Amino acid sequence: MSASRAGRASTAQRAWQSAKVRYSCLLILVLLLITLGAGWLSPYPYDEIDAAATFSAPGQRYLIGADALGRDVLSRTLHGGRMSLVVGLLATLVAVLVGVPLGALAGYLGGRIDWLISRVVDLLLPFPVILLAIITKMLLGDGLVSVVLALSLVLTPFFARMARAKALSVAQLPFIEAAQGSGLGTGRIMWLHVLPHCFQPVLIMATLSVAFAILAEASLSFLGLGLPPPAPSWGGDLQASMSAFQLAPWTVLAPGCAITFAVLAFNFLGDGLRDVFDVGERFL
Amino acid sequence: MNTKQAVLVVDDLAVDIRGAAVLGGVSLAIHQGEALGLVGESGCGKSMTALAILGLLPRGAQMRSDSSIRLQGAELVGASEQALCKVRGGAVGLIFQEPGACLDPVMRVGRQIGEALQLHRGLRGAAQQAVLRDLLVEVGLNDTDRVARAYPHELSGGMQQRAMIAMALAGEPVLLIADEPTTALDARIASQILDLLDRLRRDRGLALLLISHDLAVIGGRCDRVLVMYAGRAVESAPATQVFDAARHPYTTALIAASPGLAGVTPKSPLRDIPGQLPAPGGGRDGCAFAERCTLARSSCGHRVPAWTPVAAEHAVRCLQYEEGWSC
Repeated sequence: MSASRAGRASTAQRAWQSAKVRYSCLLILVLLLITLGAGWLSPYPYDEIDAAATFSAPGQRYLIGADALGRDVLSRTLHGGRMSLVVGLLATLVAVLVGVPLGALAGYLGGRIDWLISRVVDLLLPFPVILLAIITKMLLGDGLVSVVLALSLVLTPFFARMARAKALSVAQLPFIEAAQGSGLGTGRIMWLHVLPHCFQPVLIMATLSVAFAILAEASLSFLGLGLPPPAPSWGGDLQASMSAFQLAPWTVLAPGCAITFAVLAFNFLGDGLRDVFDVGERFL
Repeated sequence: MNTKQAVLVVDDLAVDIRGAAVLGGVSLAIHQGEALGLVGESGCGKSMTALAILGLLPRGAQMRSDSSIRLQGAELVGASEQALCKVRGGAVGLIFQEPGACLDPVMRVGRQIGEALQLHRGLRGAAQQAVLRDLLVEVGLNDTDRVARAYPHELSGGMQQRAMIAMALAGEPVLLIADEPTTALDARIASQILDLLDRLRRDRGLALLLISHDLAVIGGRCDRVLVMYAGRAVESAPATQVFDAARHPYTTALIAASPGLAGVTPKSPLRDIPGQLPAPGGGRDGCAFAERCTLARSSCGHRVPAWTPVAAEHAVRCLQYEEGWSC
């Protein structure tokens, strides 16, 4: 009874049965609410300088302390999450929307188109994210767009490769030939019969890639390749407070812990989904 | 000859894969309401013929330019991909061997048939659902709502094949090509499916190209039989004559190797055909069957036999008739 039920349960229902998926979803939801609601939740504006409160310890006035300029660490950490999550989600979204159709097309059509797309992907693959971030910052200037672009350039090849591998195997299956035999064109076959088969591995990879992108964004901000100060970001705040670590550990711990939680949440979700879908390591 | 209009005329169809001939000199004609059986052992080019008719040759395969495939008078060789897409699933319905693998496992059956209805007849929404129900009933799937909502794995093999047939009928075809439609099914279901194809042919006046390796499947259901060997048609005859008066040595050997056909009693051992199907493009000059033929003479290795009429509507490619051996 329960077995036949599980067999009939939809993909979403099966995923929700996993504790790992449930808890990580909850954590991500909390993160999203906190960062999106940072404007209301923060006790102070993130850039309000209080010269008298430099490095003040956690207490009644500043809940988890203040930084070198006397700015509230809590307010900055809440606001900093915006940048991390927006960049992480946006970069992954762009990479999925560009990489998956390109890869699936290459795998399904094969031949010269496959060669062309695969070479472009191979060309992108060895570029380090830092170099790409410098280039995009040079070309587009400071801003969200250049960071997102750099990260999606790094992520796209992975999605393209995975979708290509999946499409290659799907294209051999008889129902593709049957679809051709019933008169469907390449576009319809891609949309109806190839892309849906990429959904599960793409979903898992996308979740894991959000975690990667959050970490990468923090690294870029740490190196000064993110938004310029005083814009709050976890990586940037970490860098700014690093020299004061012994004097005021809260200034480092707050953004550091935030990064850890965000990355863990998305990693857990990806792991959980992988267990549920049983996709294996082949595509990831 | 049949006075009705020929639905499909294939003339001298030849296909090469990287220079090696895999099909050569395949000619056939099917008239409205007529069933043509295409028979031969695995690898002899039956499926390739079906795919070639629809322009679905595998990558690397090339049709020779003097081949001709006319569907209701319109030439398909050299037709644009767009025109061919209209023909596939439109005027020509295609049914494959493994219904379970030919339906997309992640799409509901009703949606898959609905896509074909939308593509070929522009039907959407309620009109599409109504036609879909009619189609499912026509192929014997009376529990229409459940079947339409089901995923392929939730249906039995026989039901899957019925759904495939419904999909093939979606474009209101004039010709149905069934490539080994019953090979993956057990005997009882197989005969039900063949009965269904028979009924559809009569009710709709369809032309049917039934492909099988099994003479017993072809035997009772077809008007004419075309026997293929190594990419060539070797004997073309009315179905009744094939079993009673087969002329080509390959056909007689095939009949002797088939259980349950006339002349083979349950007790008598089946005779297999010694040797193997030659690899395509082996640089042969003569009759491809010569190596395995008990009657072969030295001339068989030098010349490809031409079609030789041996009776009314019965022709054979074999030198013993062409050269008039006395045997």
